Amino acid sequence: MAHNRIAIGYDGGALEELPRLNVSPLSVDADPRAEARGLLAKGGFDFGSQPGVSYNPAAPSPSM
Amino acid sequence: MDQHQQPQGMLSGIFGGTPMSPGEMFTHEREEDILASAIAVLKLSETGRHLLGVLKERDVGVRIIKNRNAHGYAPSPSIIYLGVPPQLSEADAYTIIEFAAAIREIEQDLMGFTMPEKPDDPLEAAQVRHAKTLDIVAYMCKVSLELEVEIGNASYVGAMERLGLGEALRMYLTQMGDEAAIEAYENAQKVQ
Repeated sequence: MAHNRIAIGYDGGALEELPRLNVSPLSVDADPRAEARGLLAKGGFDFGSQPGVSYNPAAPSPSM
Repeated sequence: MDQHQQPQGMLSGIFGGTPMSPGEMFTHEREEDILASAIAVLKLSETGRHLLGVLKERDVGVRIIKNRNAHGYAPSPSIIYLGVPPQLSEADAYTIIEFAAAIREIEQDLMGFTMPEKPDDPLEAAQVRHAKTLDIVAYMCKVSLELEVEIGNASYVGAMERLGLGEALRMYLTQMGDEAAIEAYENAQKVQ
């Protein structure tokens, strides 16, 4: 499991060596507004389909 | 359907007034402007470009919702809800850091770095939860430092300080090692 590499107590490696997915970085030349429209079009509101998930507008930031 | 069986039923007039859909109730009026500005800024950071690549390649959607404080939230690997104060028309430093954190949370899930479904040992679940959070904090550090260098102002480091993560940031910056980073992270939990 990937998490074994970075579990607390892991005693080797710098933080930069945390794993990443192998993806192509987003192009710096693409239009951010067009990209925003593309991402927003995919995202719906599915609070109701997530068991146990509720929206708390009073939640502190960050929640970690 | 009984409202107790359908969470969005809570929005169907339970507090009186006209029932509203989640979209009507939560969508930020400047959703596209905020997301476009967050993308534009994250692109200035190498780590940010990688994280945005995760969104694009893995077909992750984003919704900008109204929230009192900037707050990123990823209930599943397919969607991020980014809470932004209603008065903002573009992403501020907090929003951008929270956005990066939420994307990293999704990347963890896609890598298989997930919470155990039914852990036999509660300590195992706690260890994984803290490891996941520490990893997210490391990415918040990476993005905020990269943006400070690229943009040349202290907004991002200042935001990390106000989020209680200043010590973690300094540990990251000076590469004091995992033990010091974990201590800084534990101290940050006490601040929250």
